[in-house]
Amino acid sequence: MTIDLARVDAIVARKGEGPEMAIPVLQMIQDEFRYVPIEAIEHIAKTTQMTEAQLYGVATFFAQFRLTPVGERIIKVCHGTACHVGGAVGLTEAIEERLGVKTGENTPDMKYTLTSVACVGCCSLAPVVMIDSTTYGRLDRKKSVKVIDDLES
Amino acid sequence: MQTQTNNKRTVVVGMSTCNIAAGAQEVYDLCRKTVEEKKLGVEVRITGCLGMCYAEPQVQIVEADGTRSLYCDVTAQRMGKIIDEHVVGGVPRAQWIAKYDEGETKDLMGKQRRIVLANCGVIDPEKIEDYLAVDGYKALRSVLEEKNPDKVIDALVKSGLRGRGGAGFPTGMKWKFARAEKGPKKYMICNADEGDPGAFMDRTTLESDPHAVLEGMAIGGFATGADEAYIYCRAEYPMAIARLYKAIAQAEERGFLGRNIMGLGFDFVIHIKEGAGAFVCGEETALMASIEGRRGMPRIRPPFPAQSGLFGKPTTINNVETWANVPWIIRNGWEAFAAMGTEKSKGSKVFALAGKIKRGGLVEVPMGITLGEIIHEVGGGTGTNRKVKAVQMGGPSGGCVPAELFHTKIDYDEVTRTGAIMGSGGMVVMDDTTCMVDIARYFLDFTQLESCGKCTFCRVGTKRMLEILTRICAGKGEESDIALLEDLAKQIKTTSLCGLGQTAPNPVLTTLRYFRHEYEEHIRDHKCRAGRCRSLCTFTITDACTGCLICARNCPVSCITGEKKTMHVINQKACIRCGVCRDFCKFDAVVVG
Amino acid sequence: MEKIKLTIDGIAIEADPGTTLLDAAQAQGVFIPSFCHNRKLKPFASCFVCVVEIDGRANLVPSCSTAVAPGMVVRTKSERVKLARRTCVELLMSDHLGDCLGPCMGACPAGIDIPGFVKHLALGEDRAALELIKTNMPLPATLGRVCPRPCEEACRRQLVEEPVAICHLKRYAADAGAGDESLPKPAKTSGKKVAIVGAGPAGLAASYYLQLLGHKTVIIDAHEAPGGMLRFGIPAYRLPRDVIDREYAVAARLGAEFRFGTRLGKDVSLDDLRRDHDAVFLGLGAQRAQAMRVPGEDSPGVLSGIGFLAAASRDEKTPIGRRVMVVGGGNTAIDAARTSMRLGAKEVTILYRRTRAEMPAWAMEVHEAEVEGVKLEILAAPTKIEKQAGGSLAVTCIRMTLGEPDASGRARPVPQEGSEHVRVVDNVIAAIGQSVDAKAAAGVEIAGWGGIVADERTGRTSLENVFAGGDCVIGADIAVRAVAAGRRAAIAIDQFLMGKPVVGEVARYNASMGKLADISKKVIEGREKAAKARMPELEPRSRVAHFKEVETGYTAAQIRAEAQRCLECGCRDARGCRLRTYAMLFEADPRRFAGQKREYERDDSHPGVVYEAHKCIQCGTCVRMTEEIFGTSALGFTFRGFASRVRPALGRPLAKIDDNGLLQIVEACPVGALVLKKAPVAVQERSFKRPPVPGLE
Repeated sequence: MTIDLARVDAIVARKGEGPEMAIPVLQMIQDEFRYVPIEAIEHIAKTTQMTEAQLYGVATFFAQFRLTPVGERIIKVCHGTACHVGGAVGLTEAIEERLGVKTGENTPDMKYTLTSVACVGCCSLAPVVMIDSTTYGRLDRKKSVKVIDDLES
Repeated sequence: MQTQTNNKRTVVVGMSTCNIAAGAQEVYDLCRKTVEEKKLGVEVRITGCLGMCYAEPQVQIVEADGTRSLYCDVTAQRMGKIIDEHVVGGVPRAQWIAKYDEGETKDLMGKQRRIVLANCGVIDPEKIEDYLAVDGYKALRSVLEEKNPDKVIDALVKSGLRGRGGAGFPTGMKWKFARAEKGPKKYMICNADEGDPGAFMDRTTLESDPHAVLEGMAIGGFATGADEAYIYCRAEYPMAIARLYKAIAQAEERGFLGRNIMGLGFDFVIHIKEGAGAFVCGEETALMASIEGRRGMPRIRPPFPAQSGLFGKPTTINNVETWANVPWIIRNGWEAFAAMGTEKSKGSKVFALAGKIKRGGLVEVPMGITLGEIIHEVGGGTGTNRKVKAVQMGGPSGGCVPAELFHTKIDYDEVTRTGAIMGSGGMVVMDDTTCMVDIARYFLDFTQLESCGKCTFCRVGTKRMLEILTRICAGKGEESDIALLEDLAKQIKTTSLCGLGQTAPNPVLTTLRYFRHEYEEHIRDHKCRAGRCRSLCTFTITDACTGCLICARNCPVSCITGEKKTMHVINQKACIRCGVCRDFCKFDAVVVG
Repeated sequence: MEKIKLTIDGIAIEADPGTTLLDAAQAQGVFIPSFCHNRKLKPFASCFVCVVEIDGRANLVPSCSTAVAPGMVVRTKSERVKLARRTCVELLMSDHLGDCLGPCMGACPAGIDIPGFVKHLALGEDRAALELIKTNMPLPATLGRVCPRPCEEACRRQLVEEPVAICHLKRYAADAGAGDESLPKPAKTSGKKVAIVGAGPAGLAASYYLQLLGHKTVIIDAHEAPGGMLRFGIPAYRLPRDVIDREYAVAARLGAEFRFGTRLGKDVSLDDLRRDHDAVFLGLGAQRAQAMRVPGEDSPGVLSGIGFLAAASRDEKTPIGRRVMVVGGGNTAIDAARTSMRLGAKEVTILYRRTRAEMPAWAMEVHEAEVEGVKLEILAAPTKIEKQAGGSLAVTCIRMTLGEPDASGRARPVPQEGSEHVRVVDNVIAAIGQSVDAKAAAGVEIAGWGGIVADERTGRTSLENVFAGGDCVIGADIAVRAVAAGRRAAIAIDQFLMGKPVVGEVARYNASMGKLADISKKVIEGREKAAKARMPELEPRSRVAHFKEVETGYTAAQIRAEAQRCLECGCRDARGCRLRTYAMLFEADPRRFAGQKREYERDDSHPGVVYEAHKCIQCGTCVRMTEEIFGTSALGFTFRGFASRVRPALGRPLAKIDDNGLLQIVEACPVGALVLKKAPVAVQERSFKRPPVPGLE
């Protein structure tokens, strides 16, 4: 896969070239491409003071970054303490069954990416699932499947 | 409290992440639409979170004279009725309104003492005017006018304020060290990387009252001699980040931040850095590495950040709640702050109540009140027939305090004595359906994934602890595993580089201390009394069953049979032991056995 | 600059401000282990094996990155520190995938450095190969012919196609070096004298290594020639007598004194030997043939396997009948059958009570016997032997079926009632096993089954200066184990003679990737198939007419190709590896924290360097060197937690990175994760040396 490197240049021009900009630049790259393409890292390393080892090290360290393409929608099942106590494991099972994928995978049609997240800070509504930027609270197995059914319809 | 700029009637919709998750966006949109279409002549505004997350979305109707009616559990449908009856008709729907001086709301609010949360759910966090109307930036002005940094630090020291991020280091002392460092360049950092699963104090504060944090930082900057600051906020909090950007822009526009603040000769710039998801970045050296564009791997201290921190310069790091306390202390005097709390723990503390608790949400209580008061009185207990078994404090770094120790006072040292830590304020309440071995396993799963991987004991040791716990939960534990676990836990605690490793064993050590019998049951009797560890439990239906069919309808594998009004039976062969039936049963007819 | 005063292990010392505790301690000669510490780099504190205890601090601190402070009281040897260090090493080992030694070497009872000598052969360094072999094996030409090759069973090459022909290669190296008088080097004499009873492989090995350590040996043996079972139990067509003579001559040349025809308990007593020597080694072997316990087995014409082989060994014209029945399934049975053919028998049948799969004999030998015309009759056993008129023997046999497994784990043969049948033969040779007769060693403790009781590692017996090893201790077994026992005893006897604690050769910790079935497919990825070189041998029809060696040996051309088939398993840093050293030093238990382990991840794309991430212990030395010294970003930390790995930038192959300084970085790796391709494969010295006694050196 080849990517439009001009878009990468534009991001670097906006954020800066210094090594301390590694995380903001990668974050913008991910906003732009929905993941961090390796080609983008190579290009940035060539054109700025950031190095490949630094960028790759950072991109693999932080949970936010994805190095492979994702589905149109990202479903994040919250696994905070309150959600765990409230049954996040069951929700995960139900959603995995509904989508036919395991956590960390994309559906074959690339419509969804199912992931887990440490905590979205909506503990009082536990258990919680976040789809893109929308948070759904007070779920159970059936409700979580219904949330996806509703998205589909 | 008067927070409007005019005397119009106002409909205030709670618009925090938690409110929105509960459906506030729909309520807000409907409100705007109706008010505009019907030309009702009332103002629709937003506010943050009141802390009553259990009853969200919330809407307040503020009359021209300032009296407020607080509507709870507002749906779009209810909102329509509230507009029709209350806003248009002038008749409040009394049964939907929470009264601060009676019932549940009184229990919730009665014991609270709000400093950090004072403006939360009251002012519009996106309007600096609202903050100014509640004496915002007055503390900063007084400090800049007096031009006496030592006095500010002295006040902080005397206030007794300790770091609210968890470790409880005296804030004034930290400032003093930074101030003592020479050099033209110093930094301030606000740690808003609230990584504890089960904690949301910082998110709420930033979403509901961002200016208080900015003002606190500016005061700290002046006192220590820093002119540049970073707020390191986790990217999972997009609303907090958006409101911070807005607040910084407004403050700069009004001259409360930036060059020559209020014309008093002090420069202070605040940047925002979005954390990219790493619990270990709550550790200050890892956090700084991350701001510098590196992997969040902690380094050994000394040198301490106050001597050599961000980009090698003296740096002061405090968390959101700590900073938010600062303007109040300056405005009201250190004496007022120090008058609250215990001998060594002053002021108030914000807690996030979650888990098996009736009134989940955010509360701020004076130091010195007991755990029992918070959980049973403020939080209302489990709200079900089940008994509270324990409370988890301090997240992955903390521990489980059993109900027998609920007489423990909120005090850094007293909490530490239980084996837990004060932490940043997460409190997850557990009842008898929570398995303590599973909880320990849950936290170790978290910490081993979040370990930066640098030092041996944390990187490999936490993984091994997780493996041992996993096999105990799967019924494959051996008698020697408890000793192995305990030995490893103790060694990781004292032989790790940073706070993450040093505290990672706490959930295991506390559960071993207070709930060792549960471990032993898992290993010896192959039994999980809480019904969480699937290999070690079965669910059966007792004659308390009324035949209501709810469990059968919700069973994910449809393994419950029975006619209406006859006792149901679980097909044990097909059952996956998920416990959904027990969760749904209103008659406690599903038992672990 | 004013010095800082502190105490380390109770000793008051002074150090410059800024000195680390590690440096301060080492300056005092206090040993502190470390993986991540490197003098050229800034302190990092990742491995935590260097921790020390400081009074007044709850936590242990890494000494590599903690500066001295006035009044500090530091402990480096407390129980807490020891426990932490051991745990640290145990945790690292639990996530360290690799083999310290090649699996072949681990499987060899004598511990021959197989990958090392095979590599020498691949490079054409024949003499170096032999020197290396002789460090652990004084009889390579002999064992190269007769060893049943446990090493080859473990060889990973069979995951590709067939094992490397290790034994044939060893034989080649030994034959090529035959007659080289400079091998091995004689040692300075200690003045001590050791009597060795038995000139078999155990006794010879004990003598050889004792001589190398400077002790005088006297070997007594009841036979008229050296070799024990090698000479009197193995036929010449497998092991030519000149080969034995040649290898034993080395012992004589080193100064061993042989006294043949001298029987213990008859010509000389153990007490005499103990009195006249500083120590005694008993290598009596297992020489008594076991009886079949069937009626008529004492009839004329019924022979014992070893008795028959010994006779044939002395006289190639030993008479044998036309029809021979050999009873038994071991190598002695096969040897007896093939020897019978060579002595003129026409119908030779091996009778075995289980099936071919259970036969203890080496499969290749069974095959060769059949090629030569020997018949194999399985699931049958004799029940009665009757002498018939005319001298022939009527042997009543019964058919067997296999039942439940017995104590040895093999299926128990069960007689089938009514299946008796009679076979008429001229000779019956009973080759059903040998037992130990140790009564001659009066005074030494004897086990219930008849063997001598001796310590496995040292060979020490119940008598002060008497050691034992080989078949007389463990029962009839293969020669290579006897050699190993003799060598082990020599080391222990030396310790005894030199007044040191008699602990023997302490085994080092050896990591292993596991059994063949556990090995990742990635290990053999990209290996092209190359069939094992065929051993040339004499044509079957003609070879049964004489006792000339059947296998004629590899040609020089075959050697290189065969040696190059070696996958070079084992670690090139096994000698220098700090993890292995500390594992032994701290007596770490590698299984204590067994759990999920990192996966095999080898990168040999670079021309000079191999990187094996599965061995990496994440100390970060290489990463810091690339950054701090060479200013590149060739290697970096990736991912985090248990999954974190040191990898070349972007996970690229090593060949594709900026390799500035890489060769120097390799040297700094404390384990064998980064090694030079040109580093020697051998892990042992090319000459036998007194092994260190742990705790003393």
